[in-house]
Amino acid sequence: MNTSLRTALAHREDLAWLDAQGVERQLDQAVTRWPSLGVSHDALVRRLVDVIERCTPAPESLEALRPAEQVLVVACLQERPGAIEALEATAFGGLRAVARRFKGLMTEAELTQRVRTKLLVPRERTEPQLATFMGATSLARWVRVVAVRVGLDAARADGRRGARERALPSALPQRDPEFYWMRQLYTDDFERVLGACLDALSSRDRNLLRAQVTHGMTLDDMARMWGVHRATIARWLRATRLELVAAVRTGLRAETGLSESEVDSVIALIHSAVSEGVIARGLAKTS
Amino acid sequence: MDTSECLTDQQVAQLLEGGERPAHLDAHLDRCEACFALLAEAAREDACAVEDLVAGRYRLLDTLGQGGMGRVLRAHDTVLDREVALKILRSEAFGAEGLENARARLREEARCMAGISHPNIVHVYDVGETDGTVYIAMEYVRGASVQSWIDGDAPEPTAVVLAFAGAARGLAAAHAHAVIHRDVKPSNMLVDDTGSIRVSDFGLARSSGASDQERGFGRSGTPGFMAPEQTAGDALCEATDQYGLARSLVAVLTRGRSTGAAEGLDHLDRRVAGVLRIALAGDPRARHVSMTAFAEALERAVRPRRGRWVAAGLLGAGLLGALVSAPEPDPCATMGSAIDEHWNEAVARSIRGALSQHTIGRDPTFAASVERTLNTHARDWTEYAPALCRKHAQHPAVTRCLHEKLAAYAVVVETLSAPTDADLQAVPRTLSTWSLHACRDRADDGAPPLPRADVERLARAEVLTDLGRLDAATALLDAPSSIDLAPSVRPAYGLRLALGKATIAAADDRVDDARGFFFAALLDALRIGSVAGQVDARIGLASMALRSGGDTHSARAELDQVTALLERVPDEQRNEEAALAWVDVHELDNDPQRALDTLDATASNSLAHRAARPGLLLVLGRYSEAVVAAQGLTDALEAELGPRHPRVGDAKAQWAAALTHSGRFDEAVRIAREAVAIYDAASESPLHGSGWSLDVLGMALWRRGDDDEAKEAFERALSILPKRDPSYGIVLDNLGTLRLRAGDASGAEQAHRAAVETLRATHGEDHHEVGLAHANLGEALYQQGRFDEAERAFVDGHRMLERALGPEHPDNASLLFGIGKCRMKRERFDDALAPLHRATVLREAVPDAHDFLGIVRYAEAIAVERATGDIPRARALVRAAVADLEAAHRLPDDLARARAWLEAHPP
Ligand SMILES: [Zn+2]
Repeated sequence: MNTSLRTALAHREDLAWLDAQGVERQLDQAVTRWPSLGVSHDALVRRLVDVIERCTPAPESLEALRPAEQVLVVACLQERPGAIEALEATAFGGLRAVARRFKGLMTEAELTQRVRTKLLVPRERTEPQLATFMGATSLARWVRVVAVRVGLDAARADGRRGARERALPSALPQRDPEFYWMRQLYTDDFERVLGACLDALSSRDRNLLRAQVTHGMTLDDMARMWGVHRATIARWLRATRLELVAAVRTGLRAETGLSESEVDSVIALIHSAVSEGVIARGLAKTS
Repeated sequence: MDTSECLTDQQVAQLLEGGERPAHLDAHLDRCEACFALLAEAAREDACAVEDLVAGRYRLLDTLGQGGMGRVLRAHDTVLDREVALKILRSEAFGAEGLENARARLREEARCMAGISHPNIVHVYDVGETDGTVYIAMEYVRGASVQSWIDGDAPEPTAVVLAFAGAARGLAAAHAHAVIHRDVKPSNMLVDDTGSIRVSDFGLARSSGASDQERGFGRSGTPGFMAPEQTAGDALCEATDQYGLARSLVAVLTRGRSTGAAEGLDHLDRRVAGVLRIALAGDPRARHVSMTAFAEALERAVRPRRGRWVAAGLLGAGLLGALVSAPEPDPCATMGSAIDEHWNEAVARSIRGALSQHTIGRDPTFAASVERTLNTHARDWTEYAPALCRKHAQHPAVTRCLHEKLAAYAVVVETLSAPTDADLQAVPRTLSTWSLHACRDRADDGAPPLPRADVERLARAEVLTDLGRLDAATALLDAPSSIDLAPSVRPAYGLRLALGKATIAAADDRVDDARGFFFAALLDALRIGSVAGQVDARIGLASMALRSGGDTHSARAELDQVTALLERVPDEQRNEEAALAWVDVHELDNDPQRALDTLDATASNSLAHRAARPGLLLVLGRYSEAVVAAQGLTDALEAELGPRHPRVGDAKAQWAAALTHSGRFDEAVRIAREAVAIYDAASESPLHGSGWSLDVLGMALWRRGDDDEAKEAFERALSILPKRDPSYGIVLDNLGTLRLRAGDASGAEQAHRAAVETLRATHGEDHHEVGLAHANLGEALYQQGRFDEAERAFVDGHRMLERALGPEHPDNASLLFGIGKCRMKRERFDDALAPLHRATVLREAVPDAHDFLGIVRYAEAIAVERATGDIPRARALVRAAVADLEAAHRLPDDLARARAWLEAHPP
């Protein structure tokens, strides 16, 4: 006779959904998703108890724990034959795209191997990272974040500044000769003013500029990052740029005594696409 | 979440799933680059292969369709701010043809298609490939395909037939560019919101491979639109498309009820059926003679007899064989005939007369080529200008571009009515860059509109500059603007004005002025956000940097920017300009290999591109390739400019030089003489080309053994060339070599020392030409018995040559041999072995180098004998030397000496 989840969690009176009918049947269904892995109903219950006890706030439903994917986690942690293959088939689909972003640093096979190691191999008394999968998002999405971190760590270890910047060389010009006439005229004034103005922006505005200019993110990517609609991102960015331009204009006029039209030609550079290199450099200095 | 705590993987995953943002998230991200990068990178969550591949440029909007070949997506081109259809082709879709071939073919066809601008063709913008996925970016046409006419509502039959006639004209435009569609069928023809048919998907189908795949993907249910020759696997031709188009028309007119080719025709209008019956003939040769003829026949079949269509015979002598529509109350309608004022039979006659006054112009090839090009351009104008005007009526930039093109055309015609020799040399290039295609994408530039009078004035100045009429161009630019320009327009005008003045200054060799103007242009371009303007200004700045003391550093910086800009806004013509500037940079940086790689990496086949190649191959020692390249260039230039054009002379001189280097002296002498003759005949002969061709002739003669004639050629070259001409030092060097051959070693030394000095001044310290002059100086010293000095000269020269051309270059062999023989004279046989052996190896790679090889091998043999006493090895070397010398025919003394050695050392 199987232990029921309710019985195992008898002390958790806050979890009303445990009393609902069909919880046990859902667990059975989860187990039978991967019949060949041989994970028992009881093993899944033990796993879910573990997860639920660690969850804050408490989960609001069984679905929120993704019981089917937890079966896979159990199988992997118990090192059942075929478990790793099943995990990879289910959750490693996004790795190809991640590997492509870190191209030149590691191959897809290397990335897969590192992710596999990170997920499954316990390190110095800590459990394997797979055990920390709480089901808050899909396993695939979570593994993808793990992979991105693996990639970024490797990039950092490699002494490079991250895959993005190599993927978007045009966003970070090493030299920008259109500025050498300006540097001649205004030496450091411009960069100092720009730096001060960037410092004066809000954290969010600075982050927005950094995302777009340094990381070359699209509005859609940024919308995901901030959890708002892309139109909102576009509006924020427009406002930020206008604010920055206005601040630089005022700052430059005050610092250099340039005429309005001269300041305008400097401002034109900020508006134009190439000036992104300058903003990027300014951002690099502020951080 | 605490502001100081970093994000866990789970938190990141949750944030991306739309989870709630903690209050201090932005504050933490602002301080923590690691978390920022993790979140930013992970936010590219949905980045599939497709998004990756088009990252940074296209934003995917939705999926338009999915088929056997792959997916079609609607996307926004963020760079040019327009909607595009992105066709993502799955690599499996190419079947037996293979991805490699398919990619090359698609790229080639897309390149062709990108050159075709026609209102009935879906414009192809770009084709690319990443990670095994090929994508094509093309114009997004809102609307369904012609298939919807079969499935649902079709317009009334006359409108359908006229729409198909339009499609036929689109296909005709493709055929004119040698592109055959191969798969004309209703689903490949889109209907835009004006009811016009836009033909799409050129070249995607093959007679084998893809179309088999498509059948495999379950298309067998749709009626076959393949012509009999296609089904049979025979060669495809333009008439194949005619068949497909006719089958599609039958399908629409019969609402898909017809299944066979001829079936259904009986139910159609008699005249239309007659036209279609011809187009559907089983034998391609029995169909209409061309797609245009098919289009005309369709139009005739449905037009009322009185007809609103008039033939363009009034334009004179059938030069413009197109049909133009009668005037409508639409400003674009009169645009087509605007060209008549500039190009008609009277103008053509007067140009023919004017050309006959000049040596170049008298050449029938040249005259015919110019007239043909003017005809083609005029016809393009009549056919496409009204359509472009109408289609982009809301975009003033397109109209402006059309006005520019018309003005440019007018200037060329005016110039040809009373040309100078210099004009005639410049006209072909000017004509070759004239294309309405450039106007099509003009709407994206974003520059505010200028008054038409100013647009035309600037365009005229540009062409005049191109033609070398700098004073006239300057006068035009200095004229005040037609009206007081609004402040918002000033930067746009300023940009064009500055570019114009910069180009004039550059043509006039006022490099500093040009630089200033290009700077001003760059500022204005940045101010109005004109990418094209920035590219032009930066390429200009780069060229000026190269011209003022070969400042490759600044040039590189500018061109890096240009590369980045062109990545975002592809522009074939500017891309090639930039590539040619890079070639100059690499050449000046003594990196001919890189220069050649850059050149080869551009897909262009233009004359400017082809002209740069032979010289680079020569410098790199790839002589037989240089022969082929120079010969091809000569042929192309002859076809374009006629056989007596100075540029043909230039190409022939390169050809002759390549032949000389390959040891083909008789041919070299013949071609070089032809080059010299071209320059002698030209009334305003360019000094450089003239002197250089004489130098090449001298070289060929000298290598053939005609020393006296060679000396004469060199001396004539020196009398023509200015001292700062890059060839001067080389000719001087050659003259020295001839003196040496005549036994005047100290006279030779003098000439070579002068050559070294001149070449240092014109070419720079570490240039390979300076290295080669050292080789000759070493030889002159050697002949005087000054072996230590000679060795030093050889060693210096070798160092320079290695640095300039790399250690594998065959020219290193002469210097290595020099070093070796000096050491032998000083009895340092051990030290001589290595350079001699290396010289042999380097020279073995060059065909027909027997004379040199024979001598070096003999020298190596003696060094082996003396240094090691290894007689068998020495013997083997001498035997090889004898074989070489026998093949060379030219060195009886050396041959006799080697044979004597063999007799003295029997096995
Ligand atoms: Zn952090």
